[in-house]
Amino acid sequence: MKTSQAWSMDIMIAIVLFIGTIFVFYSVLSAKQSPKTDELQDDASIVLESIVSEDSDIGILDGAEVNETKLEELLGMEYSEIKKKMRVENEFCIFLEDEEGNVIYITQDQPGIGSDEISVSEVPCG
Amino acid sequence: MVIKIGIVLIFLLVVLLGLSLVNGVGLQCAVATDCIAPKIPVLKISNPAGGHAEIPSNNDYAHKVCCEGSGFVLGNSCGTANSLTILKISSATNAHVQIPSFTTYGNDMCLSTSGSLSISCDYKPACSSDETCLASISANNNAQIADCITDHYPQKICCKCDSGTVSGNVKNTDNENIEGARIDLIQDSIIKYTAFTNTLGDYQIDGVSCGTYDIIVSADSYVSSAKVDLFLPTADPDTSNFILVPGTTCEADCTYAGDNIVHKECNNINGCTFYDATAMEVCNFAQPGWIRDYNNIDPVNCPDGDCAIECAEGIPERKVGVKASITCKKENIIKLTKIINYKGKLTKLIVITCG
Repeated sequence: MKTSQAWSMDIMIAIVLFIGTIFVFYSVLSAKQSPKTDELQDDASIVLESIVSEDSDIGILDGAEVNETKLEELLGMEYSEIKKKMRVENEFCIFLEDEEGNVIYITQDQPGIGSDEISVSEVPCG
Repeated sequence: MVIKIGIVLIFLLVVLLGLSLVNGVGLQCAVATDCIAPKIPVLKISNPAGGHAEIPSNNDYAHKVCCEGSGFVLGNSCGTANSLTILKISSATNAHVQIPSFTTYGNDMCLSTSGSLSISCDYKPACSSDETCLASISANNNAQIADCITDHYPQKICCKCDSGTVSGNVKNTDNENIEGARIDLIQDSIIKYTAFTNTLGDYQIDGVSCGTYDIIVSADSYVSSAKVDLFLPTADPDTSNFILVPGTTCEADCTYAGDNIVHKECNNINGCTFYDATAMEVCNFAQPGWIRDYNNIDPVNCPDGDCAIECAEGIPERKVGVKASITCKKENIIKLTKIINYKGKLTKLIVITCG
C-alpha cells in the first residue's frame, strides 16, 4: 500500500515536470519566432492594401481591374521609394500569376515589382 | 529648254482644269463622228465648221452632237416628262435650225433624263463653266450649225444639268431600316442639303443642284458613313443607299469613341485592323491591351495553334508557361493572394514578404 502511494506521487511529479518542460520549451520558441512572422504578415498586408486601394497613390487597381497606366507609374518608381511610401521594413515582391500558376511577366524581363532579394522562378523580382 | 518645260506644265494645267470643269458639269456634249455609249446623239450636222442639220436617226451626215450624263442616264426622246427641246430643225435632213422659242420648224431635237433630273439650255455667245456647249449656231432662227471647237458661229447652245432628287435608304448590318438617320450633302465643306430617314429608312432630297458632293450619313448608336466626290443627283442606288455599322465612331484601337470596348465591326475603319478573322472574333468585346487565347494555326506566328494575342492590333504569340516558385535569401516568407482582373483575365496578385 505504501509502495503504491510512493509510485503514484513519483508519477505525478514526473508528469508535472514533463508538462512544465514542454511549456517552457514552447514558450521560449514562441518568444523567438512569433514577432518576426507577425511582422512579415503585417507588412504583406500593408503592401497588398497599398496596391489594391484606389485611394492609395501607388494603387494599381480600378475596382478589381489592373489600371495599366497606374501599373506603369509604379513600374517607373524605385523600389526604395515604394518601400518608403508603404512604410514597411521587410523585403517584398509583388507579381502576377495566371490561373495555371504561371508567372505573368509585368515587363519583358521583370516578373514583378519589388526586392532583388526575392526571386520569382529564379529571376530577381524587381 | 525652260520655255518648253513651262509650256508643257501650262498645257498639263489647262488639261487638268478642263477635266475638273467637265467633271463638274455632269452633262457633257461634243461633236464627234461616233457616239460611243453611254453617249447618245442629239442631232447630226453636215460639217463641224458650219453646215446643215439632220435628225439623229438619219444617216446622211457623218458628224453627231454626242451627249452623256455623269451619274444619270441620258436620252434623246421628246415628249416625255423629263425631256427638253434643245433645237428645232426645218426638216429631217439638210435642215436649218432655230431655238425652241421659235415654233415654225416641226422637228424637235431633245435631251431627256430618267427620274426627276432636270436639264436647262441657254443660247448665248459663251457657255459658263457649269455648262456644256452642244453646238454653235449662226442665228436664233433659220440658222446654220457648227461645232463649238471651230467657233464658227457666235451663238452657242449651252446646256447644263440643273437639279434633281437624291433618294435612298439607310439600313443597319442586320438589314433593318434605320429611322431618323441624318443625311448631309456637303459641297466645298458646306452642308448644302440635309434630310432624315422615315420609318422605312428612306430619305429623299428634292431640288438638289447638280454637282459634286460628299454624302455623310449619321445616326445615333451607329458608325457614321461617308461617300465622297459623288456627282449628284444620281439614279445609282449604290451611291445613295447606306448600311450603317452599330456603334458610334470607330477609333484606331478598334473601340468606339464612346466606349473602351473592341468591336469587330470596326475592322478596317479609321485605322483599326485586326490580325485576322480569328483575332477579330476573340477580341470582340475585349478591351484594348487585353490578352485573348488565339487557338488558330498560323504558319508564321502560331504554328501549333496554341497562342495568345493582345487585343486588338497585336500578333499571335506562343504561350510560355513558367510555374511560379519563390525563393528568398532570408528564412521566412509570407505570401498573400488576391484575385484581380489583368488584361481581361482573372489573375492572382501575389504579395511576398521576406525576412
